[in-house]
Formats: sequence, structure tokens, C-alpha cells
Amino acid sequence: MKASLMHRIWGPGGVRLLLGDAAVLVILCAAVIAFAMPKTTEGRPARAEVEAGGKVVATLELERDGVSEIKGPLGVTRIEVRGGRVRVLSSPCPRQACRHGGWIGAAGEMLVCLPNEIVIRLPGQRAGAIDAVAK
Amino acid sequence: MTQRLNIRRVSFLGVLVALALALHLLEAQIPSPLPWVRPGLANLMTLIALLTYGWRAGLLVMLLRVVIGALLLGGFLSPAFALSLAGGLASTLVMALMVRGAWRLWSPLAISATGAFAHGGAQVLVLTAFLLRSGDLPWLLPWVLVPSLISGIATGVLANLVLLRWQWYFRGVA
Repeated sequence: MKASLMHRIWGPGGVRLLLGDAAVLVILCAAVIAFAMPKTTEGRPARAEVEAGGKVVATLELERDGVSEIKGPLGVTRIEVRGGRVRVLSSPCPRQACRHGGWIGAAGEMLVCLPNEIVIRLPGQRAGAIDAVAK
Repeated sequence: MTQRLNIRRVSFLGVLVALALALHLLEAQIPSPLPWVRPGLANLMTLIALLTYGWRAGLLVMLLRVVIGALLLGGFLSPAFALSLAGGLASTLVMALMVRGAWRLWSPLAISATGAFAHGGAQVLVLTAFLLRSGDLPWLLPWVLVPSLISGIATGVLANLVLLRWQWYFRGVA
């Protein structure tokens, strides 16, 4: 903004910008940011990271349904995304533990296939403190 | 109302309603990729009415602008009208409360920005609660609030400018 215009708006004897203006604007901006934040930090994550052999080889958008094929040492693991959740559709591994892991959709959850060295991870903090309970 | 009929007041509010309507109709012609994003300049007249003649006058100017605007553009009592009315009511009430601190705590800039914020917030609220009934629409909130905050600040700067130019008039009123 040009200095002359500033002077005309808030110059001597005119309407002045007060401390409250700055305070109100800061509060409003903070409110907007607070409303915008939750989608990224809490609740359902937006994408899943797929690691093969310790490196991230793909990120899957959870909004886009579909099946991806990831290659590991044993062969191809097929990963399905549907309705904001992820599961292992088929795996070449002997025990099929990853496939039995079922669907995951919450931040912090993961599916692991040790034999085929594939990890599917949903980034973020897990809501509950407990990862799993052994019986 | 117990207030004596004041010709100066009536004519001034009439001018404000006319100006607000002109801006309202003008804004409706501006194409926008996000249909709810409007400059919100008509709100300037509501704000000036609030500052000069109190909350009743502000409410009157807003109601007349929204109702006559809908009658002229079409869509009276439609969902869009409900949204417009809800936004107008929320912003006018919030601004009426903030007018009490005007000139001492803050200038019309802050009042206008908060009013625009309330306008957007109320519209999203009505949209989720009554029109869509989906419940999980708050993702829309930033998309509505950020533009309305920007336009609210712009309108606020303009309000300060207008009030500065019209000082000679307001000295006789308030």
C-alpha cells in the first residue's frame, strides 16, 4: 500500500488503526488455522506410505480407490485402497499375516509383510496409547 | 418504536439501503470460481448504519438489502436466500456487539473482518445443519473463511476510508 493512502486512512485527525484491530485480526487468523489444522494431524490420514526393502516406493491417496502392485523379493504384493482404507489383497508370502491384518484406516496403523519386505504405513500419531494386546 | 421520526435519519438509511442494493446487485454479476465468494461490499452499508444509528438500523439495512436483493435477482425464500439471510443476521449481530468498542478498542476494520468471519461461519453452519445434513462438511470451513476474512479486511479498510471522508456528517449524528 502506498504511504499516501495509509496517511489518508489513518493520518492525523482521521480514523486510526487501534491495538484492538491487530488483536482481533490475529485471533481470527488463529481461528482459521485452527479450523484448517485437524484434517492433517488427527483423524483419518490422507495417504498411505508403502515401503519395500526399507525405502518408500509409493504413496497411495486414500481418496482414490484402486489396486496397486508392489514388487518385493518374493514377488508382487497387491494392495487395495477403498473407502479411505487400505488392505493387502494378495501376497506371495507363505503365512499371509499381512493379508490377515485386514483393513487399516486410522493414523499410525500399519500392515507389515516380513517375508516380502513390504510395510504399509499410515502416517500420524495413533489416537490410543496401546498398539496391540497379546493374549 | 418510540423514537421520534427523524427525517435526516430516514433519508440517510434510505441512501444506505439503496447503496447496499446497488453493490449487492453489482456483486451478483461478478463471475467467481467459488460461487459463495463475494467481495461483500454491501456489508459496508450495514456497518455504517450500525455505527451511526445503532443495531436496529443496521439490522434494517441488512434485512432490506437481502430481501429486496432476492426479489430483484430471483430466488426469494430459496436455499440461497436462507444462506444469505443467515450470513447477514450473524454478521450484523456480531458487528452490533463490536460497535460498542468502536473507536476506543478497535476501528471499523476489526468490526468488518469479524462480521465477514461470522457471515462465512454461519453459512457453513446452516449448510451443514439444514441444507445438506451431511455432518462432515467442516472441511469446507477454511475455503469459506479465508476468502471472507480477506474480503472483510478489504471492506474494513474501505469503511475506515469512507468514515474519514464522511466525518462532517457523523459529527452531526453520533
